Amino acid sequence: MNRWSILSIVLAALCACSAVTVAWSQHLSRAAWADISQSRRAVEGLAVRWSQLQIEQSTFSEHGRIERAARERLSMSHPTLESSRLIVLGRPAGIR
Amino acid sequence: MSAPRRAPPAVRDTPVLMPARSPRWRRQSVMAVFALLGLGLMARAVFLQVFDHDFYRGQGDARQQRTVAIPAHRGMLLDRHGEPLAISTPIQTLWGNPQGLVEQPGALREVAAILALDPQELQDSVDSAARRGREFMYIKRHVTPLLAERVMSLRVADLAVQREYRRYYPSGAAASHLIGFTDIDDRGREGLELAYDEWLAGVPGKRRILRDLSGREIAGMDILVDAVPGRDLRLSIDRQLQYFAERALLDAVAEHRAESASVVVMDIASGEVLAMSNLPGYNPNDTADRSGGRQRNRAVTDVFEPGSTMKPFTIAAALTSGQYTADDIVFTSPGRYRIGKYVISDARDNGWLDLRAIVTKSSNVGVSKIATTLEPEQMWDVFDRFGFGRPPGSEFPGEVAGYFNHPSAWHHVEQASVSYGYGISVSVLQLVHAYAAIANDGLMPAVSFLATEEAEPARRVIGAGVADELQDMLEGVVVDGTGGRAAVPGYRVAGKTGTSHRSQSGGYADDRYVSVFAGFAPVSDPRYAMAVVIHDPKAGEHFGSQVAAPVFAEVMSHALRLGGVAPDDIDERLRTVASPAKVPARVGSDRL
Repeated sequence: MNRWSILSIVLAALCACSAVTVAWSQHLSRAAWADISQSRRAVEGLAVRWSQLQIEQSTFSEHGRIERAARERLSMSHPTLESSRLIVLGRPAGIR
Repeated sequence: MSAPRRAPPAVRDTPVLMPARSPRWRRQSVMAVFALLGLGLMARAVFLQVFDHDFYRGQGDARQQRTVAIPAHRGMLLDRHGEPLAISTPIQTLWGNPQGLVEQPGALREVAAILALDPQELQDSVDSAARRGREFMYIKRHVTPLLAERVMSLRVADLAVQREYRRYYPSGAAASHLIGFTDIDDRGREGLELAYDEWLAGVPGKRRILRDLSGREIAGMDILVDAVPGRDLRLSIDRQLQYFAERALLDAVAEHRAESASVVVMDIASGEVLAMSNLPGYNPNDTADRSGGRQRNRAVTDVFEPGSTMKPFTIAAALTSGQYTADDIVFTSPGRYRIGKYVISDARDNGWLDLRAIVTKSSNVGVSKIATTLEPEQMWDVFDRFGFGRPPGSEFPGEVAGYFNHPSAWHHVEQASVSYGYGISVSVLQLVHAYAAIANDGLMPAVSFLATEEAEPARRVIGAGVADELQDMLEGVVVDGTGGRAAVPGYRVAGKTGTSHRSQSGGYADDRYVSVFAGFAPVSDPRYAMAVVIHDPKAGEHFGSQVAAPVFAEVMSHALRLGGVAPDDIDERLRTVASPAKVPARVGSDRL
């Protein structure tokens, strides 16, 4: 065997290795794509959930609803002036 | 002997079919033609493979690959405390290729059943789209993710989903005019959604996908440009106060059977609009509700003649001119004042009035007499500084400048009529803005619909001394003048009533009015300015003091309470002075 045939065999082996790695990396890329797609779907699902929760929260905390509940269920009312006490720190300013 | 020379008899028998010798040129030309044909084919192949490669590759891809848009998430609109006012939520849109769908009537019926569409209508629209050679049509836009999943589980060829966003407004009608709304593609169409569209919108991305023969996506290829989500925007609005403003207006409009109404509350130091409500309103979540005038933000886009609420500005011009002091008196008897063929009249004969009494008793004669002694240029200049006739600079789409002539265009009675608010038109926003300047000791803040960390520097429009005198006069209106019903228990309130006849073609309507109240509180250290305008009350009462002032009192009391503003007009017995040392450093509310 001369030098050239050894070189050819080595090159052929390298070529085969490269072919296998190409296939392998293709596989990895597909797997990664599947992962990323799944994550994207998860993100989307969470975004949907998050906006639903925000809408829900702001609907429940809507002022009219709270006020109705306070008035009707808990018999609360706005404090009147007579039932309030103003506590002023130090010298009151601008009050006549 | 001669036999070898002869051709064989068989050959001799068929001389016509096969001549022993054809001419040389003939053979060669046939060869050349074939060679040329071969060369032509080769050249064509080379052209296809090498030179036109990109074109055909592109064409092939175009049949398999699609570039689809990745919609960008639109930023939220928040109130000043971070409560959401507009949220974009992901939603699915179903679309399909009519060329393929047209051959699947059974599948279309199933899809229609899930989506609650009329099957015949769906089939018809697919048919007509297919006939026109379309390859894309919406089946149904904006369906819930759950419904979209049910449709996709049918695995119909040539049917696909696309994510989109739908805007949702949790406060419903309460701030609808201010916020506006977006169209089906989630682009701003009205209000602040339109004004700040660029900030909110974000940039859609691009994604390439591979599709199989039936048009289904087989593998995502790559993201060419990722979507950039829009940014959130914090508005100056206080959601709670907005709710109270809306409710107070609803009550007033129902009680007085009014045609329309507006209220605006402004922070006098920062110029932030804390609440802005108009009636009639609409529910921004319901596209069918957006008809005609319902969607107009009247407080910014409509003008009215402000009537007596202009008097303080005439007095401001008088005091600024140096010709008058607050104690000067004007003779208003007999309650009528003739200028040419026009007669200006008061409700009663008030006799001698000082400037303060002219404001508290709202004397048209008094203020007209003052106005006619002023330099028109100087009076115009003061009104101009208060922003009348100029757009308020709020960046709101369609904001108006109002109508206020330069003195060079005044005819002789106009100086008097402007002094009590006729012949001048303003928007509610302009009116509240001008009152904010009086309340802010003559400094006019820049109007803002956004929550501001650091307010833009205010512009001085009148001297602090003049502003102080005006504040005192306007408090008199509420304490012992026409504005008694604007009083808020526990607080010192100042303001001015106004009632004007509605202008209509050819003059003024006798029985149609605009009721106005504009003012601010608390007087000891003003925080909020507010204007209430109610158009065409038809239930009997029509004066600003009867119709608009109670709305002012109602909304202002909530603003002061929500803002944690200490009462400045309470009984001594209700007040305790505590030593600062014994009290935690922070007491009270952070709201507003």
